[in-house]
Amino acid sequence: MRRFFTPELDVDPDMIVKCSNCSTCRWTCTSYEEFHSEAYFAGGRLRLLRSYVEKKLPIDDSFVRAVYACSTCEQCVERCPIKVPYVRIIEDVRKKLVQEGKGPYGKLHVMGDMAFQHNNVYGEDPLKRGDWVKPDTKISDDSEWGYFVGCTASYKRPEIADATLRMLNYFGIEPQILGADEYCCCSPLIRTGQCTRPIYEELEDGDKELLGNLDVEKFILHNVEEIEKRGIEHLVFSCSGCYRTTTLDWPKYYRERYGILPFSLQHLTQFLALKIKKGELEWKSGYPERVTYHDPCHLGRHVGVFEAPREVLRSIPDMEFVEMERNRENSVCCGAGGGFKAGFGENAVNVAERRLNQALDTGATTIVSSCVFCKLNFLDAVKKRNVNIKVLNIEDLFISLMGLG
Amino acid sequence: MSETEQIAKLSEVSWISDLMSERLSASGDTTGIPYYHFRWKKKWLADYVAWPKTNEQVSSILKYASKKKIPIVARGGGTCYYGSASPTRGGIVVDTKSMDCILDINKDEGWVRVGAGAVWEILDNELAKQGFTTPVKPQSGVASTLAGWLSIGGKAGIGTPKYGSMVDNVFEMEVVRPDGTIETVAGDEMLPFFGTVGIAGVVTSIKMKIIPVPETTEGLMFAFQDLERAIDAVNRLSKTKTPPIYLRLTDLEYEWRIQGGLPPETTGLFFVLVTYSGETAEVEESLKTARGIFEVAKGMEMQKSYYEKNWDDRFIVEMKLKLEVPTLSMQNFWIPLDHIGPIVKRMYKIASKYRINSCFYLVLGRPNKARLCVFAPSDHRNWMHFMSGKSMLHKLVKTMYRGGGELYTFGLQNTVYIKRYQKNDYKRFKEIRNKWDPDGLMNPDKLTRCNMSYTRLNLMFTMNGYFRRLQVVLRRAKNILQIPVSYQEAMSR
Ligand SMILES: Cc1cc2nc3c(=O)[nH]c(=O)nc-3n(C[C@H](O)[C@H](O)[C@H](O)COP(=O)(O)OP(=O)(O)OC[C@H]3O[C@@H](n4cnc5c(N)ncnc54)[C@H](O)[C@@H]3O)c2cc1C
Ligand code: SF4
Ligand code: SF4
Repeated sequence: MRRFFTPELDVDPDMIVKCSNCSTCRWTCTSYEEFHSEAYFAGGRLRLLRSYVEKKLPIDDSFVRAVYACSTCEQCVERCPIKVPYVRIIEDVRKKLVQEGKGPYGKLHVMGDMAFQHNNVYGEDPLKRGDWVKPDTKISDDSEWGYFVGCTASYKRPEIADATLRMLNYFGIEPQILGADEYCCCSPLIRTGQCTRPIYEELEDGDKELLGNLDVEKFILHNVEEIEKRGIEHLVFSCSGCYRTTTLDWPKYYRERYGILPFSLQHLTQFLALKIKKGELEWKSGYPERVTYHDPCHLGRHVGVFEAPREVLRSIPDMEFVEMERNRENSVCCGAGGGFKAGFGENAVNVAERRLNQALDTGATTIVSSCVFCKLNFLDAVKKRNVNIKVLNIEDLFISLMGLG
Repeated sequence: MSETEQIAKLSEVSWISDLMSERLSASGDTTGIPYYHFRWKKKWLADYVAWPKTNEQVSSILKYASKKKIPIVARGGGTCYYGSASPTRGGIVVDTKSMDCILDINKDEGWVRVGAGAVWEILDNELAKQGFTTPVKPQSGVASTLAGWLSIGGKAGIGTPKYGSMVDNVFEMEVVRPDGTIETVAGDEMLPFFGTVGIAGVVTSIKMKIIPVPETTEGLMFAFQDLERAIDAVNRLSKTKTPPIYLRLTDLEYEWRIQGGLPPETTGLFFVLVTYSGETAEVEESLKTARGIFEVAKGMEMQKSYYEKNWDDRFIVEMKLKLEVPTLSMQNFWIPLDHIGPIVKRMYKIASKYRINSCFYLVLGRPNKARLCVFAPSDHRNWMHFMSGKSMLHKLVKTMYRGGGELYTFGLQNTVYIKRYQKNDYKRFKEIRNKWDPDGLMNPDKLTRCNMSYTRLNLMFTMNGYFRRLQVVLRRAKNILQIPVSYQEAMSR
């Protein structure tokens, strides 16, 4: 097939011509709802991409902005009659923009710089990655269970890491954690196209010095080796982003050369749902409130885990569980994913605020999710916009109802 | 800038942009390969995109544009074919989708007043919360807007056989004339806005009919071996006492492409789907009548689940054809049911001669008149194949005009045909243009003027037809898609 794409934007032509521009994916799109412009939804971006390529237009800032103002939530792929693999395409475009030095957008490069220097995207001290572990909780160095904590829970929302560990301890599991040996799972890097990128240091005289090359494959291989070395067979996640990346992205980098991942993966909601199915969980108290569940895009649409968290919530005594109008496959994104929060902070909070209002429309007093990022963004919206709703993750509920908190 | 203030400089208005990405994304539509149509346009790229939220803001843009002689293209969902909502001489694209609020609703009198840029699906979702729905809507309702459908005529879609065209369901509209005057129009004054792609002005809000959500919606699907019998069934069904809300006729290749094959133990070459809604007893009665009509026409009932799959897909079927090909050329006709047979037969004949794919689907508009969509699935990177599809569609247009009928959507590319074959319509469009938009700024090159000459077009497609035939004779004409075997056998018989 003749490739008619410019070297600047080399994406698979067979993929891109699939889009019919029918705009079915428009009004449900996270970024369209925020920006109300046709450059800001999947079909519009593909139209843009095609125009830039066919007309050989030079890449400008407005194109880069449009490409990055997407939370990669996959609501569009779900709606698309033709199932155009938009998120794959846009991630490729982002990769290309980074390679060409035109991306990532705004300050998103800081995540890559930090990951390169500190193994986490927040630039925190890598040696303090495991500092959240409290003395009354238990970890071990020989369990076949491991807990992959992720950068955000390790440094920004340690209460999530703590709650998850307490939950595992409750079931008699003293998991291994990798601590300083746990590197970023690479979700924020892959989503923003920073798979490989030269990293420079700005010198005082304004010059730049090359520090080395950021390469997500190295991070992934390191993590897999560390997990394998410790004999971990079952890896549990509290972060949906980490879980999605480990499930769908790691194998891409790992499998070709090394075969299948040498351990099993489960999200904590799947872990809990299994415990309930086996009759191993008896709630110690109820939650007498009206509760709704927000599907994290990475856990729901991306990996297909919709029912496990609902099974957990439905099993809680006294709880009145209600669905929001848009749920499961049609769930609305919270606005935190795909580098959207890092690149478009206030817009991401607007998106979260709208989702919280949808939760309030059901009469719910609590919105429960199962993703570190969703919780972070929802809490920002609660704080900045005074939305009157409680925001919890499933592990928070678990430890509070089981008297472990 | 306040809402009513005159625009002095476009770049100073917060809701207008001249960013390249905005201009590009607002300059395209469902046209598969934009560059094929560049030659029809003087300047395909908008200079500015505006997102007005009120009729005052629309008025201020139109006043500015008429003073400075800048072309204006109103844009709804951009789902229309034939470049209807894309610029031909640059100018300002007025994206109406931010005018989408429900302004007033009267359930007793059965109407809603709503921003003209409202998307059908969102409006229906909102109305459903109050137990109501819109009686008619296009099958692009997941993306298209009220004013977009109105502006292309809005004659065939869901609900039309029972409730009529869009024009029958609108009571009143607020519009902004090309000179910026804001007016409320009703009755015959509304007519210059129906099917005229915005040349009479920009519609900003619509008062339209709503109905209670029906008690039941159910239907049937039957398969036929014979086109005449299938059309006969459609004809009879269109004349029943209680009309269906949706009546569709398709061929095997169409079904094959959109649903990936027929259910097991189903044979047939043509398929009729009919849906009724209303009170349960009434729907049951209608289904009984429909089944009788189908049986008399020797149709074979298809699995309920297959009907349901098709009904559930009603808003995406037209696009599902793209599952297998990158380019979908199509033409749509507005024709009496009696004239369908000759067009469809000619389509098969030409497609077989050119060794290309073709299929059709038809949706009833009102008794005896339907929107017939003829498709030539292709890949424009195989230029001869793609152009042969276009040639076939061109020939079918000529066949259609000989038998009686008109084109359903005009937009940019079909204006060449109205000028030649629909002389009365062309004259009417000219009159509207001269009266309301004498400077020709509103959606230029649509309906009243065309950059392409018919003679050139005809010559190009005729020549292409000869070359393709030569390719076929020399055995160098490859098709893009496989054709279902049973279909080929039946068609060659
Ligand atoms: C999947 C699919 C299914 C379809 N099904 C049907 C169907 O069942 N029946 C049918 O008739 N068509 C159908 N179409 C064609 C098309 O969707 C309809 O014509 C649709 O209603 C156009 O609406 P829109 O909002 O997208 O308008 P656009 O494409 O944005 O505009 C259409 C025309 O209206 C003008 N316009 C838009 N807004 C205004 C305004 N406020 N004031 C004045 N002029 C305005 C534009 O300038 C343009 O000329 C289908 C298309 C697709 C892609
Ligand atoms: S991934 Fe989400 S935000 Fe991005 S285009 Fe699709 S629906 Fe919009
Ligand atoms: S991505 Fe899919 S749904 Fe969106 S415009 Fe393209 S074809 Fe339509």
